[in-house]
Amino acid sequence: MKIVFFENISWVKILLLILVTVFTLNSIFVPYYFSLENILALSHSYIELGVLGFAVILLLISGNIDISIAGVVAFSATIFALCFSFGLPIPICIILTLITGTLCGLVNALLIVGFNIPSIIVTLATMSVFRGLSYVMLKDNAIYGFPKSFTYFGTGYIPGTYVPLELIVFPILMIITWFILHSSTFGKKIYSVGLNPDASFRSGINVKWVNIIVFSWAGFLYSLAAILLVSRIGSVRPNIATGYELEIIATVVFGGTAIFGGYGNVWGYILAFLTIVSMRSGLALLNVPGQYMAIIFGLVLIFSILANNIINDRNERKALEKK
Amino acid sequence: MNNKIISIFSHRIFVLTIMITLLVIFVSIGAPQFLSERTFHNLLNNLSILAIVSLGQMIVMITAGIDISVGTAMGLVAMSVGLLLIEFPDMNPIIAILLGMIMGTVMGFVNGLLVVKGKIVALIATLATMNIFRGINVFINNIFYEGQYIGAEKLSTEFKSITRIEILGLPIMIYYVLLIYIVFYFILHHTKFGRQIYATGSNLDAANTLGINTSKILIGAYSLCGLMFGIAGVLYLSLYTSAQTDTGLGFEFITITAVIIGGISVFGGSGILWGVLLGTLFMTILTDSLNILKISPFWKMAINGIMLLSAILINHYIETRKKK
Repeated sequence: MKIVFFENISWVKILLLILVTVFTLNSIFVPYYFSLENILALSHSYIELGVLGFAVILLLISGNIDISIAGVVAFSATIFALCFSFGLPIPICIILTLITGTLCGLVNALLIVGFNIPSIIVTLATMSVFRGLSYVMLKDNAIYGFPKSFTYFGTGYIPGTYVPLELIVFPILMIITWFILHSSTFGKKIYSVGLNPDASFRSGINVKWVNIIVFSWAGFLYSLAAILLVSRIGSVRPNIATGYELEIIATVVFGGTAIFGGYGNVWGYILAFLTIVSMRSGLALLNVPGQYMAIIFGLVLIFSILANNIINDRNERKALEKK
Repeated sequence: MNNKIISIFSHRIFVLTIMITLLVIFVSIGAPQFLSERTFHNLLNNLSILAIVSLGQMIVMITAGIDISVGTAMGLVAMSVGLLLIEFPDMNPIIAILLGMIMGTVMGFVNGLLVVKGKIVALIATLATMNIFRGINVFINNIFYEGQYIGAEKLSTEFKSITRIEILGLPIMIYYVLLIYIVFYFILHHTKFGRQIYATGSNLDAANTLGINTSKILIGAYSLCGLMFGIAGVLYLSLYTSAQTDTGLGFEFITITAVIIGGISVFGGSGILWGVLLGTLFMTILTDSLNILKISPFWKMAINGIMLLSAILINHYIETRKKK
């Protein structure tokens, strides 16, 4: 008897298995892990990353890579802090921050589209520009002292429950991203551009326009993540969000999104995100120093790309055999 | 006649020389002490480390790849060799350099394997190894040295002297650099291997069709890059007598900027060695002059980013014009 589950190996199935394994291991080895209260509390610290992922998945599927993620987050957070220290009311600070992030994304897109240079190269440069500007503006100061009403959003819970207030953002973005990718013509265009930009161009898709929208939307989400991050930790330093680009690209690729574009779906990403969150939180509760986490993320990134390559090769070979 | 003038002006070495001269004039007007012998020696020392790593970066970028792990990898080599030197204080400095070379080459080889055999985009593969190297750096530092940094008092004078001798009034580091550059000039421009590196970078498929073993060439390029940051790591330890867990952080971007300013195309396949040397000189003068001109060090990263971005755009403009 063949087990149907394993008949067609797909990445989502493997992820599901990994998630269950990690979760079970955590529940066995980490004391007090297995409670809804704890799991919800843990999710608190990773929501910004989750938000970034919804931007990165669109970028990767459209065949782009963005290295400037953490740079834009830091720059947006800096703008937010500066607006606040100038005495602007919080809602206006938030709006200005969101505009800043979107503009950063737009700048990336215009450089890529306008000069026809690969996104990897452009964002490698803009990353130091954005991060560098944050250093120039903030020097080594930290800006803090945001009002309670603002930090409550990042640290508080929905009254009467253990659900962190921030967590609301996640399902909303999940639905939006699902709609964009899997249920709209624009989503089809994103996949098509990622698979083959030339063919897409010849079949009448405005490739430049797709890139501009995807990057601007990503910039918007980066600044949203920046606001969530600031509201959670309550202060802004120029080195904020360091290393986020590796963490989130690793997570999205772990979710089965192809680094070359054209493949990937929201569910894979959600599973990967949950797996990474439970892995990290388990390790954190076991007192593994945060700096070692970089090793794990590096390895996750490498192994998920390798595994994806192997599975794709296998599936292609199977498809050929059937012919 | 007119064309000749234009072609001289579009020649990379010529343009870079003018840029460097202008920069030097500009900085020395702002701060006359820039022209002192001491600043000059410091400049040559700083230049040397950057020039060695940039050479490795250049070889990788000629193959249309990129290695952003060079900075942290250099830091890891410096830390490991430093820890070994503390454990065995009587170690011969030459053995230390050899160890650094071996470590670096192995690390570069791993990068190469991931890119070639694992078929991972170079930037992503090296982004991963960069973080792994930094993690390992923190790890061995915690385990073997309780998280302390390695300082000057821990290293033997013999080891420190390998970078501090002066020959004919110039620091010995600059001779190391010239030696390495001359050797690599012959390797890149006068051997089969060198030409195959260029061929692989300019058109991978064509190179394959011509019977070049591109996998070997690519892995070789990454290993050579490793060899370079290995050497640089040991020299860094000896020159600055310090190794910390964040040594070399952000260094990769300066090497990439220097290489691109030096005229290496980000699409691979073109660029010459001496351009890179001048590119490194330009970047070193630029970063050193920030201190001398008393510009806030917080500008360093932004300036580097702006330089990198404009170099990419200018290179791109020149390339598209040449094609027309």
